[in-house]
Amino acid sequence: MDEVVKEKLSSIRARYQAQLEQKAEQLELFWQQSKIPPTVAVGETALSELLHLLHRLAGSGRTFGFPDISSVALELDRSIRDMDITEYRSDPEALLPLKQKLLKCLAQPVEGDYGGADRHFRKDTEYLVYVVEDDPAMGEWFHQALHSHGYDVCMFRSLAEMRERFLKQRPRLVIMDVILPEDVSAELRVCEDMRLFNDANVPVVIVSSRSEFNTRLMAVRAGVRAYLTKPVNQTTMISCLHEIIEEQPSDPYRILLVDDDEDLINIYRLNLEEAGVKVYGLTEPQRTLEVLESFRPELVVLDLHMPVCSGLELGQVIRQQVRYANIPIVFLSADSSEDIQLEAIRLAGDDYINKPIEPWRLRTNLLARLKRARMVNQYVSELVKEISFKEQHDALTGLPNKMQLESRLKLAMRNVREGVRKHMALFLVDIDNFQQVNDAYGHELGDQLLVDMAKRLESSLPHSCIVSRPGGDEFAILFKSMTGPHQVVHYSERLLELCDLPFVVGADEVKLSFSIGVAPYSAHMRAIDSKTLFKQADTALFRAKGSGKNDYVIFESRMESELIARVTLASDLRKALQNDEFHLVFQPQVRLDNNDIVGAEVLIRWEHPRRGLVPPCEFIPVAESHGLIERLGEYVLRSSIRYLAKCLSSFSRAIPLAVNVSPRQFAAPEFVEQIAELLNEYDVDGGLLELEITESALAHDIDTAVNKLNRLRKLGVRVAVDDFGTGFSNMASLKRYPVDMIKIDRSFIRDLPHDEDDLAIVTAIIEMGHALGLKLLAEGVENEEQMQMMRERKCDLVQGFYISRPMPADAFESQYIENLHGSSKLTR
Amino acid sequence: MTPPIQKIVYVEDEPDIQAIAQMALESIGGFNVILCSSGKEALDIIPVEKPDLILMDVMMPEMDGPSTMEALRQDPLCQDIPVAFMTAKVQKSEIDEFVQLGAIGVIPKPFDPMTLSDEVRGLWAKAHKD
Repeated sequence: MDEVVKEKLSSIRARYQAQLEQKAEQLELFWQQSKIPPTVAVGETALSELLHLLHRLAGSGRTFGFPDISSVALELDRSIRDMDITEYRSDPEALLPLKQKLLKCLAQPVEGDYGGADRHFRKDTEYLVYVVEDDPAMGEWFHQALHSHGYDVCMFRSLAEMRERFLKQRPRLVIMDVILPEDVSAELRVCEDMRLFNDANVPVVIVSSRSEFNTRLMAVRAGVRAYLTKPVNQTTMISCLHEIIEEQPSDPYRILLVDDDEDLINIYRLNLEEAGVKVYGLTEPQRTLEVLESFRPELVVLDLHMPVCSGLELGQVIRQQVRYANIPIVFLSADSSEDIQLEAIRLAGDDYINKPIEPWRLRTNLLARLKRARMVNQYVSELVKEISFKEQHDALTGLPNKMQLESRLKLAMRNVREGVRKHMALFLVDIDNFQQVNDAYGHELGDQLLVDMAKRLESSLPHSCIVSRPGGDEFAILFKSMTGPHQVVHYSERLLELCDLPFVVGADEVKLSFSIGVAPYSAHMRAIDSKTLFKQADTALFRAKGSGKNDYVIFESRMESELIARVTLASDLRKALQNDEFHLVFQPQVRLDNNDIVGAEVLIRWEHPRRGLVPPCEFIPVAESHGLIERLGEYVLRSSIRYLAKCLSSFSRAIPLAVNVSPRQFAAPEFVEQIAELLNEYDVDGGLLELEITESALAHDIDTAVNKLNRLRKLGVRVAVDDFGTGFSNMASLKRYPVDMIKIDRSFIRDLPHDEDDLAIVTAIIEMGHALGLKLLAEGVENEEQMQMMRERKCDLVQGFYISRPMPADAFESQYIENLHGSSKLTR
Repeated sequence: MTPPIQKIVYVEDEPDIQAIAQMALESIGGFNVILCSSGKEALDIIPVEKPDLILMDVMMPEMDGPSTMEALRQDPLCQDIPVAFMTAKVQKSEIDEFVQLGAIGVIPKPFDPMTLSDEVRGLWAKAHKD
């Protein structure tokens, strides 16, 4: 090295070293202060100062020739960041050993290689690794992974290229894929090259996507040092290289020796420590369990004959606990009776070694076992990591799932209760009409949309919040820290803006909207648990959906009672269906030209055992949101058809009934078959049944809807379009549906005759309906004037309080059906 | 043919690191190095000095590396000068993020003073190849 450079380096290094004491003081200070909860602002500042200091030490130590400072500071920095803030505050002691280690590094910095520079000058090839990889992306990965761990890397696209260089400069290690495309007689050539590497004593690591027996066998025969299968885990690869190059693992093996002869322990210890093994020598067997817990050895060596208890007994004590089952036990004894050896292995051991044994022989034996034990443990811990990841994440989007959300939510709520944060909030975001996207584009594209949505949410929200997918098309976002209500509003609006840009679904761009429910949480709400908070967010979301979607609603406590009422109502509703607490009422429909009663709309009434009559406007939405609407719908259909049958048998005649059908009921694929079966079961003519279906139910999937309507028509069943004019009414699409009647919604009739706009609309609907050959019925007619106006405009039918309120079966029968003179007339 | 680097503006708030990097880049790499201690200072100096390359720490108080670069990109005099970041965070995702912002590459911290210049040349050459 240039003398001038050397001199400069050492003066800079000395200056850096001189400041380390001060850094240690800072570390102590920030450490103490950062434990203070941030209600006192200094704690928050100190914590970020602490992390900043650690970051700087990690980023500088090695540069100045103190690699230990870098690695310990980095480890401490990561450990603190990995912890949740509360965890850190309640138990920073867990990090004490690391902190002590760092303080020691700062007090007595160990001069390492000058940032790797000395080694670079000493011997170019010490950390030089050759990689043969023909895939550029994979090559880039290797380069990045090795380089960031301090290796010098040379990349080669082919073995031949590498061989040429190899003859000039030997690396410390070679990594290669087994067979590269250009190699025709690859196997032979690899073996030839392997001889070259082996003769030069350069270890070879194979990284291959091939896993078949022959390739592996070839690798073994060729003397390959390690065989890793793609995709390779970076940590696994680096620790594997380290072990080959340094001839010991980066994290030393840990071995527990239990022997009453201290001298023997010392001899073994000396020998094993030379090979980089950490040895815990124990002369008191009764402390074994305690040491197993604190030292966590990967191998236990037991002397068979000890005064307190025999090794055989001790081995059995260890084996009583399943969690130590992965630790191999090796017995050492001068007693070479085969019976005892067999017994030792049968009861607890993995091997039995005869004393006396040369320390190097023992070392080789134990190292081989340690290496395998380490492999098993690594494999198991990776599996555990993978399983726990899968357990806590949604498989589709990779976001935390409901389980993880719940634990994070609990933690965040605790932080607020304990004053670490002021407020927090849980947001539930639901994609409006996601079901329609799924129906129209299929599940695969629907899933892709969810993945896109997850990405959009994650990339546009602060890192500190947790985006998760508890299920379906619903996303939950946990804001662990909120300054106040204005921030809730700000983020709600920002979330709504996320759907300003369309989503790409297949070849289309789809414009979506979200509904958002927010449940804020503050310290005074201590009585509320995480489940309740989730329900509150859900209630708010329900409100947002109800208020016309593309909106956010923030939970307020008055919604609480509604929530409870809704939940109670749902459970009562379930019971009511079982206990038959419903009955039907009938509202007559009258022809305007001759006052004949030509039909009646069937309405449902619920006689609640405690509350009495519950209005449909209250329980129908609950039935819809709790998945009971189909059962309720089926109940009404069946009861209506049964009632028709009863009328036919009792009075030999019946008045046609109009039954409401919910969109979900109509969407069921077996809907028409169900009607046919019911008509058949009760032997009722389809002409006596009319179904009232809203326009939105028909618009969902037009082709299927038209098909169903045609099949209904074949059964003789008539169909009326209900609540016409309230939704996205469309006369043009109406002509495509084979329906019989339009029911003009009551909202257009209510303000007649005064509201001229309404009158104009009603007139237009009647005219257009007639032009399409449909019958028209006006709902909610309440007085003579309205009746007269409808008559003048040639509306066909009316229904409403003016004619009759909905009436129970007996009154309906006595007034309209028992009349033996054939037709039923309006008696008004 | 890759043009040689002559002048580098090095933005770093820590005096120790400044010193060792300056030494490494000047004595070993043979570059002409101009030091800046903050993003704000860099915004004043860079348009005047017009270096071949800007080497910048990511984590700096007030104005960090990425926002300094963003501000430089607004200035027609500076927008074409390549920027390389130095950071102790060498997560692949973060490197990608910086590259997406327009950086030509990232030099991980702690760096090796002996090879720092080679690394800088490597990034430079790679940027010119692309």
